[in-house]
Parts: sequence; C-alpha cells; structure tokens
Amino acid sequence: MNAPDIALGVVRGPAHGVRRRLTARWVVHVAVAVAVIGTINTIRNPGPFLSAWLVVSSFAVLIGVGEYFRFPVEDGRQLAPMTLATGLAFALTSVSWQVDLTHLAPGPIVMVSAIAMLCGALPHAARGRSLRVEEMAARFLAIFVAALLFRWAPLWSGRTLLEVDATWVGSRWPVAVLLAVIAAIGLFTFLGLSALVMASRSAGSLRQAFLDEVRSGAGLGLALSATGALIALAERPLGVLALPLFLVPLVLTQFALRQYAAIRATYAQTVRVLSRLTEMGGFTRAGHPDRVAELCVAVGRDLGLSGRDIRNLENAALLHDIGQVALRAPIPAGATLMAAPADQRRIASDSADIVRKTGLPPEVAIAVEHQATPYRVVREQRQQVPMLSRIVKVANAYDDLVGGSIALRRREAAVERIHLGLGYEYDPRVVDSLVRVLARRHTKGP
Amino acid sequence: MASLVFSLVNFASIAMIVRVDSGESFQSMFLAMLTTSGLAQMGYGVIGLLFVILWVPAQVGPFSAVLILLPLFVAQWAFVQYAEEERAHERTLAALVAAGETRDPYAVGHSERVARLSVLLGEGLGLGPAQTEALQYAAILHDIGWLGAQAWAGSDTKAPDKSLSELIARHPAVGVALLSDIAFLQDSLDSIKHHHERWDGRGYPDQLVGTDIPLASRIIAVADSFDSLTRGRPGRQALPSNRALQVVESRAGTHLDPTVVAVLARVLERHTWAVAEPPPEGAGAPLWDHDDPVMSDMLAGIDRPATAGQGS
Repeated sequence: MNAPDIALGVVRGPAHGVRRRLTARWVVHVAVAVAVIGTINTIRNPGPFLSAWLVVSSFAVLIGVGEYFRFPVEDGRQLAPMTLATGLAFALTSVSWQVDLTHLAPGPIVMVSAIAMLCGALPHAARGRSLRVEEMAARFLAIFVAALLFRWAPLWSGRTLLEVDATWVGSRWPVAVLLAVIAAIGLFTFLGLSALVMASRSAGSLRQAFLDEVRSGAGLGLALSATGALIALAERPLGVLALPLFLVPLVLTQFALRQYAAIRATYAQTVRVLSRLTEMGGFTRAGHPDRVAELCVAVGRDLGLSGRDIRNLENAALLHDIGQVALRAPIPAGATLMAAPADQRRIASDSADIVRKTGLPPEVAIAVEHQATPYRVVREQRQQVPMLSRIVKVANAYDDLVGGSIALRRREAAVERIHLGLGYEYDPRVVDSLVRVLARRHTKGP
Repeated sequence: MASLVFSLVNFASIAMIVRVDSGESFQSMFLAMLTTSGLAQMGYGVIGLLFVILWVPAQVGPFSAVLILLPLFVAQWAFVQYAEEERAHERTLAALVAAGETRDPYAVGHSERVARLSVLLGEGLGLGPAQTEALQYAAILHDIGWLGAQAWAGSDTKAPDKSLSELIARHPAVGVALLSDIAFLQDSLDSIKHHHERWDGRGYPDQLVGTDIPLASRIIAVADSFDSLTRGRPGRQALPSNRALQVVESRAGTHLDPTVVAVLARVLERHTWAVAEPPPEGAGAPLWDHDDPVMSDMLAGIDRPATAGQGS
C-alpha cells in the first residue's frame, strides 16, 4: 500500500508522447470524400432508388429531424441519437412492406443521409450557430460503415449480408442478432471518431478520450444500435410506419438524456458562479477561481486523467478557496500562497467542510482538503496525497504568483519560483505538465 | 388511447392523494406530473404494441425482448441519473449559499427558510410549476449580493452607517450581476432585483409601486420580513410566529402586498413555522438586519414608532 507508485495515485504511465497529427479535419475530409463518391455512384446506377421514393424520403426526413433536434452535452459536444438510429436502420433495411430494397447500394444511402443531415443542420447554421461538421462527419461515417458492411462487403461465403437477409427462411432472430451486431460496429466507429475529434480538440490523449467515449457513450450506443436493428426488422411487416413507431423508445431516451445533460450544465454553472462569492467579497483576486480551474483542467488533460477526474478537478479548483467566505477579514489580495502554512491549511479544511455539504462527489472535498499539503509528505511520510490536490496546489501557486498578469516576465518568474519548490512543495510531474501546458498556450495564442 | 386514459387517471389520483396528504394544490400537482412524466407514460403504451409487432409479424420471437428493452434501460438510467443530479444540484446550491451566511451567525439558514416559505406562498397563490421553480431559485439566491459583500461583517453599530446603507441599496443589483450568466436563472433575476421594493413605491432599487413589482419579488419580500422577525439578533429575541404575523399584517398595503400577506396567514394556519434557533455563540454578529421591516422604513425615510423588531 505504501509503495510510492501507489501513492502517486491516478496518473497512469508517462504523459502520452505522440501528439496526434490526425486532427478532426481529417474526419471531415474523409466524410466529404465518401459523400461525393456515393453521389457519383448513385447517378451512375440509381437502382431502386427512385421507385422506393416513399421509403427513402421517410428515412431522409427523420435523419434530418434528428439532426435538427440535436442537443448539447456538457463536454461541449452535440448528440443527435435519432439521426444515428434512423441512419443505421436505413443502412440495414432490406424489405419495407412490399418495397424491395435489396438492390439499393450503399451509394444512395450515403448520398441521401448526407443531404438529409445537412438540411437538418442548416437551420442551426442560419441562426449563426456552428454547423459542427466534425461531429456530423462522425455520425455520417458510422452510417456509411454499417451500409458498407451490410450491403457491399461479401462477408458470407461470397455473398453480402443483405442477400443472406433477403433469402433467409424460418425464424428471423439470427438476422436480428446480425443486424444488431452491424449496427453496434457502426456505433463503435462513431465512438472512435468522436474520441479522435475530442482528443484533437482538447490536446488530450487519444486512448483516454476513447475510454471516456466508451464509458459515457456505450449505454446510449447500445440503445441506438438496438433501435437501428429494430426499425430495419419492423420495416418488413410494417413498411414506413415502422419508423415513427420504433423511434418512440428513442424519443423517450432522448428526452431523458436531454434533461440529464441540461441539469449537468446547470450544475456546472451554479458551481462556477457561486465560486465567485469569494472574489465579490474581495477575498480573492477577480477571476482567480476561474483561472485556476482552467489551468487545472489543461494540466489534468495533459496528464491523461479520465473525464470523471477532470470534472472533479474542475469543481475542486473552482471551490478551493470557498472557505474564505466565512472569514471576517480577507487575507492580503486573497493569495493563499502568501498566507502562513497554518492559515493555508485552515482555509483548505474550511473549504473542504463546505464542499462536503454540497452534492458534489466526495473526491472533490478530498481534493480540496489536501490542496495545501506539500508534496514531500508523499516521500517522507508515505502519505497519500490525491493527484487532484497536487494539481490544484501547483495551479493555485502559479496563479497567485502571476496575479492574472500576462507579462512574459511575470510568467517566467512564477514558473521559476515553483521550480524552487520542486519535489519539496510540488509534484515534479505536475510542474512538468504545467510547463508543457504553458508552452503550448503561448505558442498557439497571441 | 388506452394508455392515454391510464396516465390521466393515474396522475389525477396521485394528485388527489397528495392534496389530502399535504395540502398542495391539486391543479399544480396534476400539471407538474403531466409535463414531467406524461410523455413517458404514453411512450410505455406504444412500446407494448411494438413488442407484439416484433415478436409475431416480424418473426423475431423472444430476442425482440432484448432489442426492445435496451433503449428502455438506457432511458431509465438517464432518468435516474437526472433525478440524482438534480438533488445534488439543489444540495450544492443550498450548501454554497449557507456557506455565505456563516459570517452572520444569526443569518444561518435564512435563505433556505425564505425559499421554503416563498414556495408555500407561491402555491397558495396558484403559481404553476415553472413559476414556482423560478420563485424557489430566486428566493434561495435573493441575498447572494449581500452575502458576497463583506464590508458589513465587522459592523458593531446599532444601525448601518452611510456606506453600509449604500451597500444595502446596491445588493440586489450586485446579486443579479453575479448570477446573470446562469441560463436557468433568467426567469429569477428580475425577482431578485426587486425583492426590496415596497408596495407603496418607497423601496429600492427602482421605487416600483404595487403590481409593477414582479409577483415573485412581492412574495419574497413577505417571506423575507417574516423570517427576519422570527429570528433573533444580538439584544433582541425572536418573535413567535403569531406575533410576527401581526407585524407583517400591520404592514400590508404600505410595505407589503396585502394579497400575499393574506396568503401568509392561510399558510401559517396549515403549517407550523418553527422560530429560528439562536446561534450558540453570536459574537461578532451585526446588531442590525437589513431584512428587518424597520430597516425598510428607515431606508424609505419613514419615521414611525418602532412596532416591529425592537424588543419583544
């Protein structure tokens, strides 16, 4: 238990070395290429595309509607579960009532999906919001992969799975399993591409982004693949009626998820705003909690923390000084770094007491509690200091030293002073990460 | 169709039970349930139908259970998570507001009590669920601009001096400025801004008169005054709730909205209101309370014999 490695807590392995050059833009390029090729193929060989116009257009409408009703989740992304489920069902449908779709190639499916998604997203763009092409591209490519696997790849002794489905006799449950599996593969494609987009957006590790993606998206993903398979199966006896009917469970899911996402966002806003109570009273410098939180999140991403840890870290950073609201007289400029160690510890413990009474996870209070503990106790007394606390400690010290200034000299002096406390006061790995984050920030921005 | 009837009857009976049980308004309960879980109830009806379709005409058999239940499990998971997060959010909000109150030991719990009483008053006035929610948030955060300020903390005079009076006059606006970024509070901001307006137009910050003052602000004003009277201060004991009600009633039509005051009387008949416990050690607490009705008169420039909070 007291091996130093374990005491180091949540950090796994060295910070990922290889920066991903594959950026989100690549995903978009691939998607555009697929859409163009699909359109060319459709023009050259339309197949039953025109005769099945009712089925095709009903899929198209719901794909578009799903895109229109996409909703934001807390990591800044937007989800469109209905688009994905409908698109997957489109890719997996062989017969719809009396309309035979077995000769419909992936081309038309890709083309129609692309047009429908763009139509659904355009109203958002018209209102001046971002079109979010990367996320659309991830959804689109998931549909494409499912269509390719089902309608084009000769996976079953030289025949496509579509042909197998069309000629299947007897109970259809094996077909149902098959469809569910293909839909699930399509969804994993989506999760993988989303992870790529997220990792390149936040400069975090791809592996961690993928794990977060699977952890948070697997449940919804399974529901989506099941719905996709359901619609495809029900198209045979019900025709286009299957679409609205079988989307009902998904609408329910979407409704629940929207509410969940909304309360998460609300929660985050509440904590952020109430963290400013300390600066209002003049206890901390303006913007201190916000800046420390932002820096902590960047360092946490750089160190490859999980999404859950990052969220706890952000809240701990926002509330790390909240104990000061109970003080009768503010400490000079609110800088806890300048306070005596005993005062630092008292503020940390007051803050932790308050955080413990909130509905935040216990990890947040623990992180706040240990924010003043110097790193040397990890080595000397083999105590465990949570990683989150060590990050808050370094970020807080940096912000106290820089004082919100953007002057290069102040920044360099701050890092230098932190380096003096390396290994004694601060965790060297966190400090290295801080240096990396600062270097990235100031080479990128102005 | 059957599922529609089922849901309506179900909600109506639950609302009846709650009405009998705790005296909440039937209409507001019924509407609240219809808007929150009505859609879900309808959905379950349709899902039963889908199950049958999939099993027989689509020939999928028992495996259809897996396919149908997966999305349902996810929906249920999300609903449970939502409920948990919402509770956590409310706890967090209350805890952080309470943290701001600790500097004045006599004020601890004030915001939460005002919120509780405001919600009861709102229901008595027939507010809908959305309005009640906005009222609750406004009430719990009504003094946030005051709690954030710290200049009053060391005050040991009998009444606030000039700079503190300015601070008092400013605190509703300070609170609104702090909260203006929070999307879900947009409907509550106005009520926070005007919670110290007076029915006779002599309040602050905008000297609004009568019904020009947002209803939620008038509700909070009544709850705020009542709570100020029923908690003590250094040198003054808390009034019992019947005495506090008398004081509040004497101010209907001048300081406070008569309709809301009438509802307060009705609410107090149904609910007992515990007088706030005095803190174990009240050292350092200011000798005055900006929510005291007397303070409202003083700031309005009215000199009247001290009927309210002076002695008991």
